[in-house]
This record gives sequence, C-alpha cells and structure tokens, in this order.
Amino acid sequence: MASLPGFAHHGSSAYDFTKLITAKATVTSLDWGNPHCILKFETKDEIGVAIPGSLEMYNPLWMARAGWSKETLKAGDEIEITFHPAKNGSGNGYIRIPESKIVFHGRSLNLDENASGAAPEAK
Amino acid sequence: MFTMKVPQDIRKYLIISAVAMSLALAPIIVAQSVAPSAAAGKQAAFDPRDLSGQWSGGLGGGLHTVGKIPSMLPDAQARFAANTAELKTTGVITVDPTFGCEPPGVPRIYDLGSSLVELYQAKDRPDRIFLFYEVIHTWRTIWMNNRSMPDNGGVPLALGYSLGHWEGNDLVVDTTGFADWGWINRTGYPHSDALHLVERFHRMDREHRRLDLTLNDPKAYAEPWKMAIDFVLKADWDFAESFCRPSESSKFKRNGDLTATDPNVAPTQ
Repeated sequence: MASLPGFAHHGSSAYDFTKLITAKATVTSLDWGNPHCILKFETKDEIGVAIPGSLEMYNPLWMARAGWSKETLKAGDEIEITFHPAKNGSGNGYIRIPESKIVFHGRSLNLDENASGAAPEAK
Repeated sequence: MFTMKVPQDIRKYLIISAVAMSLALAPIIVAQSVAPSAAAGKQAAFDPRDLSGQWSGGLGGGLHTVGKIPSMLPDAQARFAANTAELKTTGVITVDPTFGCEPPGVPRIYDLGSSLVELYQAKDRPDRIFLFYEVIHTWRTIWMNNRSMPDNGGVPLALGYSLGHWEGNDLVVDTTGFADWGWINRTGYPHSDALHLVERFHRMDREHRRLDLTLNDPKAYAEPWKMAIDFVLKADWDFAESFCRPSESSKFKRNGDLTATDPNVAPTQ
C-alpha cells in the first residue's frame, strides 16, 4: 500500500477531498500522458442531455504499474466512477486511492501500483 | 485468467522476472508473482551498507515533513507568497517551475510524482555513487573521495554538488552549491543559495530504506527543516523512461479546470 503522507492537511486544492461523487458515465477518451492521465467522460442529466467531465488520474508510470494501458478504457465504455469533485462545480474531479473507484464490467479497476489485488479487467 | 492485450510500450513494466516472463502479458500475474518473492526477500540476509537497488517512496514521491516547517525569513516569505498567490483565488498553483520542465532540484525531486529512485554503487567506481531518478530521467553523482567542489565559474546548480561519507552503516550526503531559485517542495516553499542539504540513507532491512533529510538554509529559514522518505525496494520493477516534455506539460496546464497540483503529499503543516 502506498503511503499518503500528510495529504489530509492540504487545504488549498482545487478539489474537495471531503466529498465523493458516484456517477454512471460513458468514456469519451483516456488521455495517456504526463504529468497525469486524464479520463474524459460524459454523464447524462435528468432529461438525457450529455454533460462532459474529466478526471485527473495518476501519472502513466503509476497507472501502467497498476496494470493499465492507454487502451484499458476506450470511447463508448460504460463505467461507474467515484471521485472527488472540483470545488468550482465544473463536474471535473480527481481520482485518489483508496476511496475512488472506476467500475467497469462490474469490477473495480485497480488504481494502486502497489496493490496485490485485481488488475483491470480484460475486454 | 485475464487475456488483456498489453501494448509493447508497457510490457517493460510487466516483465518482472525470468520466472514470470512467460506469463508477463497478463497484468494480474504481476501482483501474484510479487508477493512470494517479497516474502522470501524479507527473510534474506542483507548488507546494511549495500544501499543499491530500485526504491519507491510511494505516491507522489513520499517526501514529507518531520515535525514543523520552520518559520521563513522575510525574503523567503515574500517568495513563498508570490509562489502561492494563485491559491487564494483559483485554489491551484500553476507557476510551479517543474510544470514547465524546469529542473526540480533537491529535495523537490523527491516530491515529484511516483517513481523509482535507483542508488547505484559500482564496485569499480568506489569514488562515486550514482542516484538515478526515474521521474525526469536524471541523475546525481555523490562523490565519496572527499574532493572539493570544482570551480565552475560560480554557475549555480539545480541539483547542487554532493559529497558523501559513511557514518556506521549510514550513507550521509552533504549537498551545497544550489541556485537561489529552487522550490523545496510542490507547495511553493523556496530555498536560497545558502541551502545545505544533509541526506542520511539508512537501510532498515532487506526491503526498506529510510532517507532522513535536514535542510539548513540560514538565508531562508529560522531553523533547520527536517524531512523524510520511507522507501520500499522494488527489485522486480524495470526502471522506465519518463521525461518531462514541455509540449506535453503545457497542454496539460490548459486542460480546463483541472489542476496539475497533486494534493497527496503536501507537507504536514
């Protein structure tokens, strides 16, 4: 398990780490690059209008060691995401272990390079 | 059993041992194969003066403050205020020099993403020890022969000039010669050109190494600043390529409301 020294004391982030949002989403792209990977998605509002959003993830090295590749999620994949929302209400957010989740095909995808649990599910 | 196809560009992370090599295309096998080798490793004897190997400080790099951050002197306070001014309005720091691929310096390099640090003690080069940093694909040389800093015309150094010696089984590294523009960590604390950094590497057992850092910067801080990193040996990982590309970094900064400020390892305050 990775150590998470002191993060709880950081009060200046753009993200609200006291909140977690869970939503069903459709992947629009996985941007695989430094410094951090970005997962872009769409959710639907109550009348079915698509709302774009994006999640900041860990850097590609970390994600690769957690078992991901740039093809782990592709446009059109249906996922359920649990993330920390941006404070500005943009709908964007941040993935942070262990509390954040990305569920695909009924399985929570591994987000920890040190985890001994499941790697991303095959497609 | 999973059948996920692994692209060529990440196979290097997954091919972890001769035993696992035939199975390396299935990421879950990585996790399954690490456990028994780690368990065996903990029981193995180790040389406490052998600090070599690939070490991970964990998420964000693992650099954290021990105790309290010392109070800043006026010049450092002014620089800190400028470095963090955006926080008051946008909640993010975009002026972090490393976002533009400026060299991070030390100890900032330990607070810059999750990555391996490899310490290399070559038997045929007893006068030096190398520290390789995966995060921006750079290295430091630790000189072990009590040499003096060569005259470089007074050009300030991002990584400083490092002299090492042994105290018992601990490798102690003194680094000076820093430039005056560096950040200590991602949260905007500055250092001056008077920074004298002392790193003490201590191998606790086969799998764990502690790095204690003491920052003495009498032009910037009223007292020494103590920090530490707890490293875990990652003998089975491959040291990967990870450059900072200005074109990539600048694109990331323009990414809407996202921030490149990783909040996970802010120093304890």
